[in-house]
Amino acid sequence: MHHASMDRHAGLESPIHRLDARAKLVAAFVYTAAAVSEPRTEFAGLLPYLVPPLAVILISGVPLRFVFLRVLLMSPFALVVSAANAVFETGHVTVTLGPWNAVVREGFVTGGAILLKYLISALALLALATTTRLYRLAGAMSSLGLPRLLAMQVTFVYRYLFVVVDELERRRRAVEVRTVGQPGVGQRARAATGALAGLFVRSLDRAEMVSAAMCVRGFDGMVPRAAGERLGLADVGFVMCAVIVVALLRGRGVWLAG
Amino acid sequence: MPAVEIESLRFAYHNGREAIAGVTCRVGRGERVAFVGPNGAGKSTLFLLLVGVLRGEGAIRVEGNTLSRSTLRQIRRSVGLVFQHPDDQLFMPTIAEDVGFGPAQTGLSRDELDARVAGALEAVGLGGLGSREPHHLSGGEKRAASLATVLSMEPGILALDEPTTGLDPRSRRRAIDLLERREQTLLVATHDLEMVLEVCSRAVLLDEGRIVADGRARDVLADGALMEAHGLEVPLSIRLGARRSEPPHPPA
Repeated sequence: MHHASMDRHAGLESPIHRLDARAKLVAAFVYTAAAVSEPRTEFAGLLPYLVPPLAVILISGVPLRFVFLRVLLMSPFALVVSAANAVFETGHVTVTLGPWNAVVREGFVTGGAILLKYLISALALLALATTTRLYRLAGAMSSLGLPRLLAMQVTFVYRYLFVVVDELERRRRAVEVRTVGQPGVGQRARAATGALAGLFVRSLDRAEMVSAAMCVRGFDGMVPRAAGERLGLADVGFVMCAVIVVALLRGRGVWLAG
Repeated sequence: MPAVEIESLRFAYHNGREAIAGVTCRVGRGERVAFVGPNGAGKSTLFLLLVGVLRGEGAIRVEGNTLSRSTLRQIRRSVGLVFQHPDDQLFMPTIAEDVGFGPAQTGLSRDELDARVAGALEAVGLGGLGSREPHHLSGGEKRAASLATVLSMEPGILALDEPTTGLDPRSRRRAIDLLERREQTLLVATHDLEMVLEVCSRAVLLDEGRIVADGRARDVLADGALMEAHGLEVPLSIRLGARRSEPPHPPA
């Protein structure tokens, strides 16, 4: 079955794909933290933050449509919070955009800032996630301090997510092809409950077999840690670039005034 | 010294069903033995008992080591068990990590580990595909990868549970060719009786947890009455061979 996995494009070849997962993770974290920590009424100053993650995505070759669809999918919460701000925050602020000044409702500015911060964070996260295999990301998080057990759980969940989704889809189809009349809500609910219960039992069975497969190959409770790869010049350079860009963006007031 | 010795093995599941009801069997080094029988005969259960995943009564010896807590690791290094469902066998994020999982537990250096992984993948025709993820593989590729995960441990005995189930003809042929090239002692639990005739010299017929026949593969599988009595049928190649050798009917 076809799986729309987030790291579908993680196997592409590009300078971004070749970077170490740790470098990309640190850069994404630093960049996102910088954007999110801008003042709540800052709107114009957030616009330049959109450029670097977009540039990274373009260089990587990951289709923009793929990225923006996912930005849209993740946006509902941000949209709701932004709209709530626009409605409930009264008061007025002066917004400066280049040579233009305008006095606008504060809620519009803070709501707009929330949306921009969401967009920046989502693009930075997607630039990371679409160019890095999840297991490498989990390994990077583990080497940067995330407990190894947790990283192991993440990789196992991702590995078997597709197996569970396939199983769920097979059950859904089984129900669908045997639905020849107009079943009532109760009957549909019973079918769905039965399918889910069966899925749970099969998952338990599968987990036992996987555990057995691991044990017969010598597993003793911990996945052996792979020998750590060294960071290259490009990796260090990428992180330095992220830091420099963040410094320039945060310090724009200083160099614009100068 | 035989590769595998099983004596008076008995095992019952939690629900009381006796899956193995007194099995005694010996497999010589380098032998290729097929375990055939109807569904529920105990073939898969026997393999799980062999590597200590299940614990039964009776004795199991693998390359001279009696199965016990203290010899479990040694025995699991000696027997490479390939499970029936590749998704049970392939649990790591990439094929290379799966193939390296077993050897990595034995303290190999990074270079030795990489060499083992590369060698195992080449042996099954998946060279260069180590970075692929299991859910991106076809059924045939998953089966090949499953075999690679045990070949990398360099076991003396290979135990394969239904190695050709669900494969298209091309993948099935590849799997059979792979097995024919193996030099290890081979134990195969299967319904694919044509494959048994190609790959195995000996067949053990199991039914309701007991051995009902044990002999030369062609002799066991050609016994029509025996096969039918235990939920199987004589392979088509034998039936066709028997028809061809029948004398022509005299003219009316």
